[in-house]
Amino acid sequence: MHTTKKGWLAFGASVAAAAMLYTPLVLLPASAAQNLMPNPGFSQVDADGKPVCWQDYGWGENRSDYGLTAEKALRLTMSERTSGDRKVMPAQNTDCAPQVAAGTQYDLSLTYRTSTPNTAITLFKHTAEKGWEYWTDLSTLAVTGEDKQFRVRTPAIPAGVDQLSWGVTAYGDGEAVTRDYSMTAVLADPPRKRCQAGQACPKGQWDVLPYQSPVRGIHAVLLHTGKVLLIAGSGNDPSAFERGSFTSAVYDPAAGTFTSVPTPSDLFCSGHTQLADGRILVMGGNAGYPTEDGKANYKGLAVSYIFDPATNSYQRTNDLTAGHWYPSATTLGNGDVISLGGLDEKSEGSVSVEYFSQEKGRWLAGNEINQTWKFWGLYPSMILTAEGKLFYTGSHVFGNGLDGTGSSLYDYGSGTIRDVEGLQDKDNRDQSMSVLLPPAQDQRVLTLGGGNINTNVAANRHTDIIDLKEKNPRHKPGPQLPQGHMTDGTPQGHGEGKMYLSAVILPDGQVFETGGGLHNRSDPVFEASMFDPKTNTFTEGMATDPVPRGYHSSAFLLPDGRVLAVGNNPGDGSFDQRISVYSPSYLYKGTRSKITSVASKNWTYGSAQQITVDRPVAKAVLIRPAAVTHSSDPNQRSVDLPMAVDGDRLTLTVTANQNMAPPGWYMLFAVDADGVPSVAEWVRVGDA
Amino acid sequence: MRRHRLAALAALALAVVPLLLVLVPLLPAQDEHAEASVERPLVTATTVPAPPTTRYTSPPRPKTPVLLPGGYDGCDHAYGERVQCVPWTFPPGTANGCDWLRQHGFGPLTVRGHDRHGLDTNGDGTACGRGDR
Repeated sequence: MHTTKKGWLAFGASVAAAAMLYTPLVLLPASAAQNLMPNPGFSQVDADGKPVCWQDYGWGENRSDYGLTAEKALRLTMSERTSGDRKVMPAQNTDCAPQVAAGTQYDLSLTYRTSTPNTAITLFKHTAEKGWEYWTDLSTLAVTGEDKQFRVRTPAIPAGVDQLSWGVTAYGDGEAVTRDYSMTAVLADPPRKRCQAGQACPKGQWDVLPYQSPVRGIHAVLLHTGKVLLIAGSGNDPSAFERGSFTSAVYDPAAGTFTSVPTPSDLFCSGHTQLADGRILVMGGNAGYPTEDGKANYKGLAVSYIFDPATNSYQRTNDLTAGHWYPSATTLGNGDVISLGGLDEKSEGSVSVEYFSQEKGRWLAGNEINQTWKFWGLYPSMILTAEGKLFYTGSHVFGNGLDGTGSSLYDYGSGTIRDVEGLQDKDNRDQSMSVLLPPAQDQRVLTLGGGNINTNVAANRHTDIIDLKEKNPRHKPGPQLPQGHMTDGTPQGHGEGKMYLSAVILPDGQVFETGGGLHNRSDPVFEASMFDPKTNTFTEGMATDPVPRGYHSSAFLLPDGRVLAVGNNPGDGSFDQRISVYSPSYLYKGTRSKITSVASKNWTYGSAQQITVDRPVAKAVLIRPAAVTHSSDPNQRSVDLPMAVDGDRLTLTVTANQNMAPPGWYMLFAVDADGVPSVAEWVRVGDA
Repeated sequence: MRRHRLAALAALALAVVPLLLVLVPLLPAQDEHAEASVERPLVTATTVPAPPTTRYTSPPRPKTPVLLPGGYDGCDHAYGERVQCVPWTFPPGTANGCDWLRQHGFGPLTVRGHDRHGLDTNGDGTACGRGDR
C-alpha cells in the first residue's frame, strides 16, 4: 500500500505546496511563541483528503495507511507488520518542513492516543551537505485509549542543520491518532560571564593528588556509592603472586580515603562489569606468570566473584567453564553478562563463551551456552548494540588483530559472527580504545589509536568512526589523533600517535581523550584533546596529565564531573601509584546547575521521571559508571533523556530499549546550554 | 549592438522567470532528499531480550588448541627481574638494545634464559653489564 503510493503522495505534496505558494505557510525561524509546524490543525487538505504539507514515509513489509478523522486528527494505522515502519510528518521539502537555527532547542508537543507501544516521536534533519536524514527518536509513546498531551524538548540543533521534520512513527500493528502539533523555539539563556580562570578556561586543569593509591590501580570500577574499587590482585608482580598477596581497595575520592578489601584470588587481568543491582561481577584473572624460558605465557583463572559495595567484600560465584586471562565483560539489555576471550588455564587462547544469567544468579554451564568456539583475542572490546548484538570494535590487547577485517558483529542468540569492513590497519590497534559516542541513541563508535607490542612499531594516529544504524555499517576514517610531546619535550614525529590511551565520555557530550604511549610499555606521550561527536573533530591542546599514563593506566569520569586517572606500569617494572584529577573547562564557567530533587531513584524502561533543577538546563543524560582496564570499557555509554520542561520541573523519558541502557546504576547529570553539568545524582535503571 | 543583446536577454528573463516561479513547484520532481530519508533504524524498539534457553546444540569444540607464541605479552622474560619487561622486539630503528634499555630506566640485567637479543656480549650472565657492547 504505502510503497506504490509514495510517488503520488510526494507529487500531491508538491502540488499542494505550490498551491500555497502565496499563503502564509512559508516557515521561517520565528519568535519563541510561534508554532512552526505547517498546517498544525490539519485545516488545509488536498484533493485526497490528506493534510497539506504532511507526508508519510516508511519501509519494510507491512500494511499501513494514514488519513484524517472527522475531528481533523491524523490517524496512522499499521497491520501485518513483519518489518519496517511508517511515519507521518511535515513533507521533507523546503516549503513544508520547519526551518530551524543551529544551537537552538525546540519544544515539541502533540495530543495523541495509541493502541500500540511501538510508536515513537521521530526526528529527521536536513543539511545542505547531506540532504534529509534520520536524526533520532526522542521518545516512545505509551499506550492510551484517551487523548493525552505529550511534550518533549529537542537537543540543540546541530551545526549545519537548517530544517527539521518530526512526527509519529508506527513500527508495530495498531493505530495512533494525533493532533495539535506544536513546535516552538526555546529562548536562549543570557550568556555567562567571561571565564576568569586563565588557561583552565579553554584547556581544563590537572591536579596530582597529595597522596598515592595503596594498591596498583590496574582495574578501576566506579561504584554507585561514588567510591572507586581499585583492583590490583598480584599487580603484575610475580613475587606478590608467589606470596599469595592479592590486593584491592575502595577509594573514596571525596574523602581521600582507602579501605582495604580482602582479595581471595589473583584478580589481576580479570574482567569486570556492573550487574543490574549495582554489584560488580568479576571474572577470570591470573593463574600464572610467564616462564623465563619464554615457553609459557600467562595462565587464566576460571574463578568469579561478585563485589558488593554495601559490604566492601567479594563473594564467590560458580566458576566459568574455562580459564580467562584478559576477558571481556559486557552487560546485556536483560542484565545478563557475556564474557569472551583471553588466555585459558593452559596459556592457550580461551575459546569458551561465558554467560552469566542474572535470573539464575550464576554462570551457565557449558551445555547451557550457545558456543561458537571462536578465539576473540585479549580484552576484545565488545559493545552492546541497540539490537542486542555485540560489536567487536577491533580494539584489543596484545599483538595483531583478529583474522578477517579485524572487526565484527556477533549475535549470541544465533551464534553468527559477521565481519565488519573498514577498520584501518587492524593489526596495529593493540591497546587502542573504543567508545560508544554520546548519545548512545546515535549508535556510533569511535576507535582511537593503537599499536602492536609484538612488532613494537610506533603507535598510530588512526581514528575510525562507525554508524551502527546503517544497514551495512562499516568503519570510516576519522580525523587523525592530535599529537603531543615526549617526556623530554620533543614533539611527536610524523605519523606518531598513541596506544594505552583513555577515552572518557563527559556529561556535556564531548569525549575527553588523554594519556597513552608510543611503544610497548615505553615512551609516554603527553597529549590530551576533546572529541566532539557532533562535528567529528578534535579540539587539541587540552591540559595534559603531568603523570605519564601508559600500560596499566586508566582514566574515568567521577560523579562530580571531573576525570580521575590512575596507574602506569612501564617496562622497567615500576608502577606509578599517583592519582591525577582533571577538571574540564566546564568547571571554570561559573555556577553549576543543581538537581534539587529526584522523585524516584528506580527508573523503569519507557517511564517518565520527574526531577527539579535550580536553574535552566538544556539536557539531561545518564552515564554508566566506569569499569575499565587496559583502555577497555565497552560498557561505557551516555544515554540522552528526552525532556519536557515546565519551569524548574523536568519530565525525563527513559529509553524503552533495554539495550540502549542496560540495567544498573547510572549517573544522572543535568547540563545547561553552556555545557556545564550538575553534580550527578545516582539512579537505578531496570525492571520495575 | 551589444547593448541590444543585453536588453533582449533581460526581456526574455522577465518573461520566463515568473513562468518558472509558477511552473517549477508544479513539477512532480518530489523533494530531492525525501527518498533517501525514509529508513529509520529501529533504535527505539522496545527490546526485551529473551533469556537463554536451557540447552543449546553447539558445534563440537575444535580439537586444535589456539596456541600463542612465546613473548605474547611483548616481553622477553629471559632478562632481568620478573617484574621487568625487556621488549620482545625493540622499536624499529633501535641500533643498540643496551642503549635503548639504559635510556628507558633499565640497569644491568641478569640473563635467566636464552639471550635472544645478544645483550650479554661477554657471556658473563649479565646483559648490558660492564664489558657488554
